[in-house]
Amino acid sequence: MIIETSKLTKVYRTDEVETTALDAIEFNLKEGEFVSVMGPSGCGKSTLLHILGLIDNPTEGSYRFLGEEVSKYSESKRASLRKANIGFVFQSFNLIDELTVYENVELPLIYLKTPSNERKAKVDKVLEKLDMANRGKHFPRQLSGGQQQRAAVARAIVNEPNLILADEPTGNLDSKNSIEVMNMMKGLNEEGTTILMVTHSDEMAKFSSRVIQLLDGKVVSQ
Amino acid sequence: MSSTVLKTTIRNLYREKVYAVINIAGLSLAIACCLILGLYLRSQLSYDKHNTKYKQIYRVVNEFNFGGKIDTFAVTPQLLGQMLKEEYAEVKDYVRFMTINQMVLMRSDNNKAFYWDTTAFASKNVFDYFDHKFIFGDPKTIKNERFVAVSESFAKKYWGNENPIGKAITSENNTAKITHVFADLPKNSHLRYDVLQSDDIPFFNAPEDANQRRQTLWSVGFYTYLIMPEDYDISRFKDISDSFYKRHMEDMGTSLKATWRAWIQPLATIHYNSDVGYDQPTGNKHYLYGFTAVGIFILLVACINYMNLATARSTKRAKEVGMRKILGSGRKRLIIQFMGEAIFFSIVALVFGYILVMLALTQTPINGLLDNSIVLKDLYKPHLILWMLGFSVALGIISGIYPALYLSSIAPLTALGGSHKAGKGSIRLREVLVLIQFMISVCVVACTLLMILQMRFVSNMPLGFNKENRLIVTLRTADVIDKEPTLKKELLKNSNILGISLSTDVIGNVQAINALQIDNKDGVAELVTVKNTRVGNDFIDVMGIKLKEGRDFSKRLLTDVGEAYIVNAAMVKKMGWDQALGKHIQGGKVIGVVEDFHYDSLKNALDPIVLQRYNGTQNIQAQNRNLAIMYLIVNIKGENTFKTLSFLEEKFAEFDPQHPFEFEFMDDSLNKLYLDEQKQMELIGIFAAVCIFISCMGLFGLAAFTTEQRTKEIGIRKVIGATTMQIITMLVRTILLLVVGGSVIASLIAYYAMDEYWLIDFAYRININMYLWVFVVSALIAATVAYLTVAVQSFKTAQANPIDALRYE
Repeated sequence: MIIETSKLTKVYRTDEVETTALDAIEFNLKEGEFVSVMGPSGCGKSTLLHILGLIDNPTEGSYRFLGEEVSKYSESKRASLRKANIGFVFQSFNLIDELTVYENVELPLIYLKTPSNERKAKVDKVLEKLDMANRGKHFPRQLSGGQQQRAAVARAIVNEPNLILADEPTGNLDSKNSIEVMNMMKGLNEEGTTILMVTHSDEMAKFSSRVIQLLDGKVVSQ
Repeated sequence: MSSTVLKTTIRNLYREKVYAVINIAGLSLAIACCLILGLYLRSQLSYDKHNTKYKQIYRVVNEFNFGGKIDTFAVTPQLLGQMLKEEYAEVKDYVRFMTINQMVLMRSDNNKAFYWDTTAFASKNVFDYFDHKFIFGDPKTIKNERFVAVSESFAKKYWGNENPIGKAITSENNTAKITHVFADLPKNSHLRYDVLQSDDIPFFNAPEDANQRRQTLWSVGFYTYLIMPEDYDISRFKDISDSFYKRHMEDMGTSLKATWRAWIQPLATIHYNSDVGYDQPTGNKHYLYGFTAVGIFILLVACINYMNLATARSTKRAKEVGMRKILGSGRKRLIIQFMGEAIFFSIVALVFGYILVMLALTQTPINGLLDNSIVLKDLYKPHLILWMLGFSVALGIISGIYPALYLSSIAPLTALGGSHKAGKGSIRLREVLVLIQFMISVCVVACTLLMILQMRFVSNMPLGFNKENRLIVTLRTADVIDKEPTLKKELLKNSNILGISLSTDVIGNVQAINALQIDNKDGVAELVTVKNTRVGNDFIDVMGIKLKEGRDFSKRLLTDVGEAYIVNAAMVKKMGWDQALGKHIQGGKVIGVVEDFHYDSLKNALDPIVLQRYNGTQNIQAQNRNLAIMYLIVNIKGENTFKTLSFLEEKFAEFDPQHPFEFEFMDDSLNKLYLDEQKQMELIGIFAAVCIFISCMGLFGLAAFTTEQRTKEIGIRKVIGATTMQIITMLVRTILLLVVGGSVIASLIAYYAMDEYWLIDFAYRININMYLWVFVVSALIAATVAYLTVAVQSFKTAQANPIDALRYE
């Protein structure tokens, strides 16, 4: 089991308002699964993804990642788990504008302290695999949306993570590019990578093997 | 500023308090520093200009050339002024001064006694040309009588606020009645005196006979000021000097193998432009340049802060600019708005700057470091306030112009779209500005460190004698000096007193330089000018000087007086002697050679010196016996110092009830030789701290904006796996590179400036090449401070949950 949660809760507090974004979520994710999280805007799906991706912390409840209880981990502990095990793909790609595609893809390896010759081999390999080999020297702004998202996927998988978290990866793409990216994700899943994806689109959800529905911070079906 | 501009300015200020505080604090510190330095510079540059007739007053200085040995003197022959006036039409009048450069004890009729080294004599017409503000006494009568004028401080010390006219003051058996009291001379007067008497006393009587008069032209001792036509071309004085020499001095000059020439200096230029011997203390122009540079540096650093922060803020202001433009505001209007903001900031800073200056002058020793040359009440003079107001407006314009042009150029749509980021160009400029800031900071830090090292070098350098636990006690009048043997015997009974000797000179005071008949290395006598001092028995022992060969003066050998000489190693070297002992000096013989010892400031090279045994007071002329001075050197035990001192004081009171006990520790009097350097070091240290502080405040603000701008990038990097440290390093890297770049340039400047302008004053100095680590340390200090500043600022963002960063936009 990669992910097990029990009564996972997230509450946002401002001066006057208290909003419950996640309400006692019970959710498991097995190795090799491709799961889509769906639900209307504001139902908490992104929040769930961020907490499961260790880039945000829950207010209450238990979260076991790869068998480890991580809900109370500090940011630096979460960071080290994250960088070794999780790859992220965002709707808005989140590439660093000042770096080339190659450098963007290389970044996770640098943070993992991978030796430079190994880095080059891995980056070349992953760019080749995603058909981006000839774009390595381009800056993000010189690429189309589909190409940018492919670069982002390349960055997410370059360190061969156990889990890929995708937050509406096709939200900013046209249908042709969307299908292309989803096919790529499907391929990765078939090769053994576990994927958890947040999406609005039924069409994209069809690529996954299981769909869970969220409403007002609660799982309504899984 | 229109009211909406003022309103938005104040609201912006309120909303961005950190930004406002950084800017105002930086600018007010800079204004305060500049105000202090400016007042100091003004006082220094207006030296002697308080005399309304300063443009007509010129000082004569002269040079004697004895067979190629040239000596320049600020003091001239006694009759020079008088004779010039009599013979040359250009010389309208003259005033001569004679200053007494030693401590004189003055006792008042109400039996208070203080020492003064600021007494002087002057011609009766002195008040016609040199301005004095009289507090008591009628200035009109001053020329009809013999005057004894004293300063206000002098009068207050003896008689408080009482009118002291007619009171008597006695020094060494001479009693005078005070006729006038003048306000203390301003600090920036090159002549300094608290007692000024007319020179119509027998001591100054000049011979009537023309030949005798001419003979007096070969000895000097009087400051001579000539009253010449305004704008007199000083190069024309060469003709006067030449013809005067021909007429009165040439015959004697030929027989002495000597020549003489004189030239004149405009009064206002004396303090900073005179380079002659036996002068009043003069100023060093390089320090003024240094201070000016530091003032400009600090201003620059503060202006840079403003520019940097204002342009960095453009992201935040972009929306306002866009909206204003869409609503119809022209660019000019916006420029006025942003300039108005800058001027507003600098005027607020001016108010705080003034407060800072008052605090600095009243609560800190800074004015003391500037020789108390700043007068607090000058701060409130309306013309200074107007000046400063103008200065602040100028400062606001200078620091505001670039941000105003930059901010007003933002296109309305990009601004509203929120996609405006402080452009690449402005980032480049900001980097250059930060580089300059740190260049300046590192430069002053390095200079401070080098000064500290030099001062440490000076105080640790072996001097060839022992300066610890040695007291210098002044003996006044020949009668007291004559009692020295008994006194010595009496004092040595105390076991805390280890040894006592006598010397005619104290450390750092120019010693007598005499021309003596001395054997050269072939044993032939020749005339050699050499430092020559007289010392008592046991001098070498008491001072802890090492004897190289021969022996010390002996009490038992009467012939040692006048016939025995001890020389230092430098003297042996100068003469090229193989065997020093037995060589003849003035008919006597060298009986000992000592290792070299530094009996002077280390700013001067070590000179050959000839020691003679002190021969008593019998050669002193009767009228000068009261003026005779000798110094007792007392070697005391390190412990029970206080007890020993009170013992000494008690014994002295018995031996010399006339004079208060006057003593100084030898290491103190050595430290006094470097008082100026010490002050400069402290000043530059203060300014270094201010520089770094202002730079860092700027950096702090800048780091806040950079972090804010890169928040999203920080989030992405964190998601991918960057640690907090890696994020901070990334943010700091550019700044550290700038600091390193700045440090390299700064090191070169500091090296050059210290090597060429400061260390050059020392004959014994550190070799900067041996201390290159100073530059590394300075750079490290700057880098560490910069690192901490940025790290503290970005730590929060770097430490936060990455999602907060990602959600930011």
